[in-house]
Amino acid sequence: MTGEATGLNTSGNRPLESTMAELKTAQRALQTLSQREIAKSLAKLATLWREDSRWYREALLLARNSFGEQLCRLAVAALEENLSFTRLCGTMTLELGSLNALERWQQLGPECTGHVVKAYPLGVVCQILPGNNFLAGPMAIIQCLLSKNALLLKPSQQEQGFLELFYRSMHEAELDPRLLAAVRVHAWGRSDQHETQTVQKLADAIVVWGGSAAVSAFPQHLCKGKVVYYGPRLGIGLIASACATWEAALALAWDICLWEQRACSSPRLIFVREDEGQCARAFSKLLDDALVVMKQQIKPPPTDLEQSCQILTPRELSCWQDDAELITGAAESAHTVIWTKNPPDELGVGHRLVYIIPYASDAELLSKLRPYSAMLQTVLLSAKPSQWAGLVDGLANLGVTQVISLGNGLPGRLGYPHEGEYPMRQLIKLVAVNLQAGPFMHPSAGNPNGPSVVDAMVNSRSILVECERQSHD
Amino acid sequence: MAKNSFERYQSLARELMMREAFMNPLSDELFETALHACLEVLKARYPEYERFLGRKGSRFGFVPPVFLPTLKKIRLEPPSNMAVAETITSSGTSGKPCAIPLDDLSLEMRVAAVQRVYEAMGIIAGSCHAYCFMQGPQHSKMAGSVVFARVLQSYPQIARISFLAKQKENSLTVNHDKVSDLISDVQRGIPVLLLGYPAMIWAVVSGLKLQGLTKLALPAGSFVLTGGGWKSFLPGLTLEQEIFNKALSDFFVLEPSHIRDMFGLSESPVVFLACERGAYHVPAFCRIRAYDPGLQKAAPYGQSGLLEITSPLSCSYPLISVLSTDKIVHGSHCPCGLPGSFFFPRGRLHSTDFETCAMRIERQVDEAGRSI
Repeated sequence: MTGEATGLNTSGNRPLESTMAELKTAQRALQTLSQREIAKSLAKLATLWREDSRWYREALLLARNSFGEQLCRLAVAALEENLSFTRLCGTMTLELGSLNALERWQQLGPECTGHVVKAYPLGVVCQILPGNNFLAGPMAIIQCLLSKNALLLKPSQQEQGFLELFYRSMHEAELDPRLLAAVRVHAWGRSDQHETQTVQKLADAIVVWGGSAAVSAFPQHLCKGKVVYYGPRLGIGLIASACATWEAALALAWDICLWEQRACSSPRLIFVREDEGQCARAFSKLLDDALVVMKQQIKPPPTDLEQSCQILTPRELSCWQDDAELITGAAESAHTVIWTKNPPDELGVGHRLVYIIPYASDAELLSKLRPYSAMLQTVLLSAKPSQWAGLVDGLANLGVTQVISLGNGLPGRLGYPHEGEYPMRQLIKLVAVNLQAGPFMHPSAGNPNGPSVVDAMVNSRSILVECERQSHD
Repeated sequence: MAKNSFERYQSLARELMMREAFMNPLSDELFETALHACLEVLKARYPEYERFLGRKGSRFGFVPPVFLPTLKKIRLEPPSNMAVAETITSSGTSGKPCAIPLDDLSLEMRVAAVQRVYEAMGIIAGSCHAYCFMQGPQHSKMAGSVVFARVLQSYPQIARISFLAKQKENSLTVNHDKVSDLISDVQRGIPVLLLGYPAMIWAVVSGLKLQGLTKLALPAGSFVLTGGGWKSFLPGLTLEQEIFNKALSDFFVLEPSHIRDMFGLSESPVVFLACERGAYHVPAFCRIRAYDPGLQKAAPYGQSGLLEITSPLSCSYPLISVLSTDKIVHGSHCPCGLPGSFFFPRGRLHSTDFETCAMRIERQVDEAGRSI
């Protein structure tokens, strides 16, 4: 580990190769626990993370300098909810198909006699965590353990200490030792090629959260196992006809401030439908006012000189352009609203910066969004009930994988799809067994000595029973 | 643009340059008037700039600065009736290079701005030969090459001017014949002025040391004037100013006070010369602030801010007030005794933003085929 790397390092100074080997052993031990037992053990954490607990209060202190207290309160409340036994079991049922998907062979369906399927964990999974969401670490731990994978976590350089706090709480909660042994945190910097290459060579799967630099460090062709990329992505806001109200502005201001525009779901380009008049420009002013109000609720993190400068260029550029207007008047504002006829060519991250872009028809909206289709993820939508279905279809065809009603951007919820798939599905492989007799097994198919279809059916049932027995053992 | 408004500005700008370079007037009516006149010329030449000023809230005595990274993204066409004498470029070390058209008056002002500072600090007093550690203006249109060639040519006491850098494929290399000329001049007792990029001076000194030359005592009246990047200026090369100055002082057997650094921007006509104490002094024909973008006002003395320069010396491009990406600490009452304020550079902004799973958009949009 170099000085560049930050955060908790549970492996001490031991080489990463040893940690990976230990995780491999721990992952085998993890298979002796049932999914239900894992959920039961993890649920012990919910008590520790109750409102006003010691852990809760420590988390608030940590978040004060990054995302603010209100967001932290919501996030910890979401964490407590995610850790309830009911939620954990519900998530497994939803994402993996059943509460024992990793333990029992499941028949594919009544009409598929002889076809069985069982989920297998991938093995040792390495999660490269993002710096913008302090729930990412705990969520990764829960998802990996529920799917019986051992886990190596690489914290972000922006990690504020929340991961360490959660990790310590796992020990205090006295989780099953097999769970504790299956989680390790190892911090290293981008320049530590050896660590990166070790993970590339040894991890059975890698989940990369973050920007282009994080993604490019783990190209699939250099990695032994499967690589899942989460990010970087673009979130947008969409105010469809007659919804450009103060309430909509306030709701959108919430979504903008929630993750300080650093999350892949944060709305950064806001499209406002103009049926008549200059509705988008008027909405820009409403949003500007709403962001002033929201500043009181979600206090912006302190910025240094470098960070303050990031916002200067978009503000200045809007003053040079004919078809743009800087709406945010107050020089010292913590946010920036820019009205512009066309989406900007460049868009930085963070700083509560939003562009308001008018559009006249759904066709125009889709045309303005098309250049971004490869990077689209979330749409924060405000629309009439009659408009929803059509709009969502159009947006989904363009690449959007998540639509949330305005003002409803909340911290991560377990059991929710991400980037078009349930996250836990990415951490397992489904093994299908077809025990039916093939056409050449039937006497009439030219193999008089082969077993009949009836024999094969009997065989498949007995094999299935045997499989189930072994699973229970 | 009315002809007399340009002539009025021209006369005011020249009057401004007649004054002492370093002074501390309680009120500076001439500066304010020249600033206003310069602004009028620029507004007439660049309607886009007039609109920008309107949006930013320009008022008498305050010209909203143009943030330099923005200037690289917008291309302003000089008016067809403005005769361009030279188009200079920035180095592009912090992004795309910026092309700046200069008319005769703006070029004259740039040269005069350096001359006044040199004179006030006693840099070019007697006769000498000048060796420039950069490319000559016939090979490079970078601000340093174009302006310093003219500055040096304007001094009759500089009998010879040599440019030591030459282009070799994609990088600069040293012209060794010129280095031999330098050694020969020194051996003949001719004072020399060594001026240019510290990295290139360092390369020459290191080369001479490798050849066994441990010292090259420069004759009395010699000066070394550095200008340009200090850190990571050339690939793999990092120079610390203090170490560099000490090594040069030892090698050239030169008083440390005769090794000075200059600080300037291609986009601004003003050059700031360091005094013997290493403080970069602000001449009377410009004003600076250490601007805090978070507070949207000047940082107090002693605290870091971005260098903002306001100077009515450039009427060919809207550079009357610029905000750079260089961090400085502004101060007053330098112990060296020069009147006016001074600053210390504190490095440059890192353009790398905090990267998250929220996507920065630029390249990706290009790839999607959108015209930008």
